[in-house]
Amino acid sequence: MTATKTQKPEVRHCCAPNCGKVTTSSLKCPICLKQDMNSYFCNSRCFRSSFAMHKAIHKKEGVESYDPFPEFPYAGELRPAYPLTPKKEIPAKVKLPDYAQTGEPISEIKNDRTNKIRVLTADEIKKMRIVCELGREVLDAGAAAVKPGVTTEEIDKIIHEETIKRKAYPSPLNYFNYPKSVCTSVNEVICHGIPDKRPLKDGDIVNLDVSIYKNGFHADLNETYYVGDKAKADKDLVNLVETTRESLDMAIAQVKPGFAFREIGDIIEEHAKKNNVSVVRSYCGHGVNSLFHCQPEVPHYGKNKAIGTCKPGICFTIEPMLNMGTYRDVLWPDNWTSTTEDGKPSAQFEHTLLVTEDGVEVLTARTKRSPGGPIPRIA
Amino acid sequence: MTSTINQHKLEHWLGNPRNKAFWNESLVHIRPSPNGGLGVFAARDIEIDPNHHDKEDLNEDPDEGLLLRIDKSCILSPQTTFISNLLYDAQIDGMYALVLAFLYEKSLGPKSPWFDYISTIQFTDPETGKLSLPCCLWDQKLQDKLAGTEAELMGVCDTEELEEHFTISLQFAKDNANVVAIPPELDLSLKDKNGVSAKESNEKKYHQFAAITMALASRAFTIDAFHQLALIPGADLFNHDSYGEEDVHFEALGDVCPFCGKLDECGHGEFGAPDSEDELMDIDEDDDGEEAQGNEDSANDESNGVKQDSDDDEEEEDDDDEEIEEIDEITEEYVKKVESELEAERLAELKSDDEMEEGSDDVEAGDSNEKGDDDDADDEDYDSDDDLPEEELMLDPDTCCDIVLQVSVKEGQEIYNTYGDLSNPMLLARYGFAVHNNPHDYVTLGKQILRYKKAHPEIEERLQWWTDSGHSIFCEFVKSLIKQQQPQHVQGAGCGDGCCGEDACCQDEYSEHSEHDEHGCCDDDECQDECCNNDEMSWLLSARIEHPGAPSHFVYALTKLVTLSEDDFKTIVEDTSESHIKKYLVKSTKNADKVLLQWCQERYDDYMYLKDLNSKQIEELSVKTSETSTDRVIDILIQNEKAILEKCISSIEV
Repeated sequence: MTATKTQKPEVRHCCAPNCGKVTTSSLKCPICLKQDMNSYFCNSRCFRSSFAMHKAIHKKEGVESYDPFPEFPYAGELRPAYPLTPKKEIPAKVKLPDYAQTGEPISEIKNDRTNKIRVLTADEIKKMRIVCELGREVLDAGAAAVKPGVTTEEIDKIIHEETIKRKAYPSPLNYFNYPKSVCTSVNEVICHGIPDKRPLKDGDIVNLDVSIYKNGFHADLNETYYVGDKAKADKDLVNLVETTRESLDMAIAQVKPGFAFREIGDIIEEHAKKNNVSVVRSYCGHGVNSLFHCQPEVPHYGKNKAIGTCKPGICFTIEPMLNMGTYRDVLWPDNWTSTTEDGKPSAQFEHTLLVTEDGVEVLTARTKRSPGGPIPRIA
Repeated sequence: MTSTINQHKLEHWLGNPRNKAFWNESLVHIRPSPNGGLGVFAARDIEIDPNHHDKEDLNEDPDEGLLLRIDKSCILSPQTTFISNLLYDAQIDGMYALVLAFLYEKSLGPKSPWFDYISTIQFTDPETGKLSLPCCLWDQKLQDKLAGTEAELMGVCDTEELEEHFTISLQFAKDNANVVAIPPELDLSLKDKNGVSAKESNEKKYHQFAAITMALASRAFTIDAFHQLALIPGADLFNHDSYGEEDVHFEALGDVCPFCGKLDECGHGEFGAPDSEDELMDIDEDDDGEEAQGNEDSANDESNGVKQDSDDDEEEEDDDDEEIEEIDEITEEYVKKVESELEAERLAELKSDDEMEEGSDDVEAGDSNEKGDDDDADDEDYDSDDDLPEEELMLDPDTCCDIVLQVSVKEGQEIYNTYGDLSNPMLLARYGFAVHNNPHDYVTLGKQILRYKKAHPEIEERLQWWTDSGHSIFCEFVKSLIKQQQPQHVQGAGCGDGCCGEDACCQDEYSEHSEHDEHGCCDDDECQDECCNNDEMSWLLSARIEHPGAPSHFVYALTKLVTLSEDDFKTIVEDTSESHIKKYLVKSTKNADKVLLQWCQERYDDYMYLKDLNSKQIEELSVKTSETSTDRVIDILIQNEKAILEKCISSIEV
């Protein structure tokens, strides 16, 4: 997938993320060309249909970075900082998920919203354990780089390379044409923030949502980190982050066979209310196995009517997103970045879980060396 | 009939916005019905324009007869319960799945989202306080009363199906005991406890299970291809009308994806069934060039931790059909052109979105128009502090079940639904009640015909011919006759041609009480395929006297057949043309009438329990419906059958 100079110029891939096919076309994006990049497209349709996404990599003359949606009424202070770096290469040795080329996860679409919840075999569970352990290593490597001055794109690069190093595929990459290998959600971003040229600032919080795919299975985990000491000194911010962390742990503690997925939201919402933060309603936890996202659907808000019950061998995530202000979310025009409606911060934590015979195993558990971790609330 | 207690709990449930329901309190009230239990009554005169029955119209004027609207995610079905994945794994569906879903939700108590609704359902007779049991579990004395009735002939006293249902349910509970606690009704005792023998306590559980099953059978609606049978809080309050005068219709879009319940754009249509997952397309192989487009269409799915807002997708403008513009080079001018076109399209889309928003006039969940002030008192668990997002409150008619008033009603009038064109034995078997003067009743003469055959060996050849070919030829004849009389629904012709006994054809004992047409088991075509077999059983069942006392074409034909002269019989066997059928098998004769009279009288005498009622007593029974004591139900049932035979007999004598 050639956005930059390819090593093997004889094999060209269409640069449209919704196509990605090998092409012999010599149609090139003239703007990329001017910026020393070769971006090929099969035909005018591939170019036209993907241009809105593709142009994100175009530089703007005279500026280091720019806001691509200057007219958008942003909720908070955060702005996207384009251009994005071109899509990263995946070496041939890495096994691709079905959406890697066109962005369309056909296997997931086929399984959408049936009431079957897959129970994994012992062998499949073994593979899940391995990929989740690797996922933890990748997240920890990204988290180690979090400090003021580092851009989210630099973190994306680290996570991409650490993933590839482990012969795994970064699951977000081209999933429904998502442009990067990780989601980096800063401050008011609830989730699905796209890594860009913005450097992290002392006082920010940033969530790294890592998903990787190996041996046919996905791992999915995320954590929110304090950037610099200023964030750790912000009473409300610490309350938000720690409440979110605790709410995930409290929900996990209840998971065992027979536990209904709809009960998870009650636990999280109760803890959130107690600590004066709100629960996002638009995004849910999900089943994860050979499919990146599947049943069950796991809402984090209380009194929901999610279907299904925990059964040994089911793998799923819980990933509460808690907001300091309103629970309401808005979407940036990039169609990915979701922020709070009032611009106040949002935090999230996520684990991939396995229901066992008598409880739960946190497949993406932290290790002694994992960066981050809980800090005491400020009185 | 519905046995609903504690209507306030139900009203409370319907009023909670989380339950995505709209109960039109400005139009209807719930209160005790003279038929027993609760009923729904018009709160004021309601005028319905008879030409206004389109669901679309309701959006323009939500008051136009919409009595109840509830989102499918909030009905109680095998797809919405917490054990849905366990039911899927056990491959249990239909009524069996619904009963299990109910039992497990019920066992959770207040932890179930349907707790308030579940606690309104009663399984006992309000008069006696005893469980309302299906006929097959009645005392022998009561069952004996049914001897000789159509109900007995239909096998309502047969426990086989119920036992099988119970066995399968017990097995499910056992298989999943390591996951979910077994509901009390399915938790059989192995040992005697507290002086109660295991046998006794298990029989009690079996009876509870039976009573629950019957209560659910009388309440379930057929929803759609995904949910199948489900309970709809509120919709089951409408009592049954047997006389073709029901006031409301149940409406839900049924043609949804059977795998996920979505109306469209679910991906199963395009990519196949969920379990075809092993035949996934290999990404290296699909090179047909058409796949590139439209992937955003299926991305608007919130369930997967990924929310896509398809409203302003910037890259989905291209139609697949659009021709590819041939270009040799992408010039900067071309880029500019593309950019300005995309911008124009984006603006146009924004504009149309705004307009859509302004135009929407949907019903909001929990909004019951004129909510009384006193209702606010018991609102404490509505979480009034956290306002739910508008998009969650708006009820989308496409994903909802509606109860819609079809005819104008006067203030105070009870509003009825129909559970189907069902005879009393069917009503008794499914719902435990019977109605006086049921127009769907009939009396079969099969037993009498067999007896006649035994006494007249000379007609055996004729009846053999009838079994082999005569009956099916006559079936065709009757069908064409009925077609000529269409489009009016032919009275008494339960399956359109009267050729199949409903028990032979409606095997599914627990059908739904929605539209008769919807349950689809007595459809003309299916009927022809499935139940007009060339066997003696099927034509014996078709030999019946219809309400209010008219012998079916088949009864006439048989009386003619057994009384034809030898020559006439030969003639018709050789040539079964329509004119011969008309001549020999349709028109009545004195001899044929005599036979008919004999059969009817014998049939009359076959009732083991013959309670002669005077006209005043009959009057007392003539409440439209009655769910009260079992004796009364049996009386109504027998009285109706007797009336049919009496009328038939008197018409022959005249």
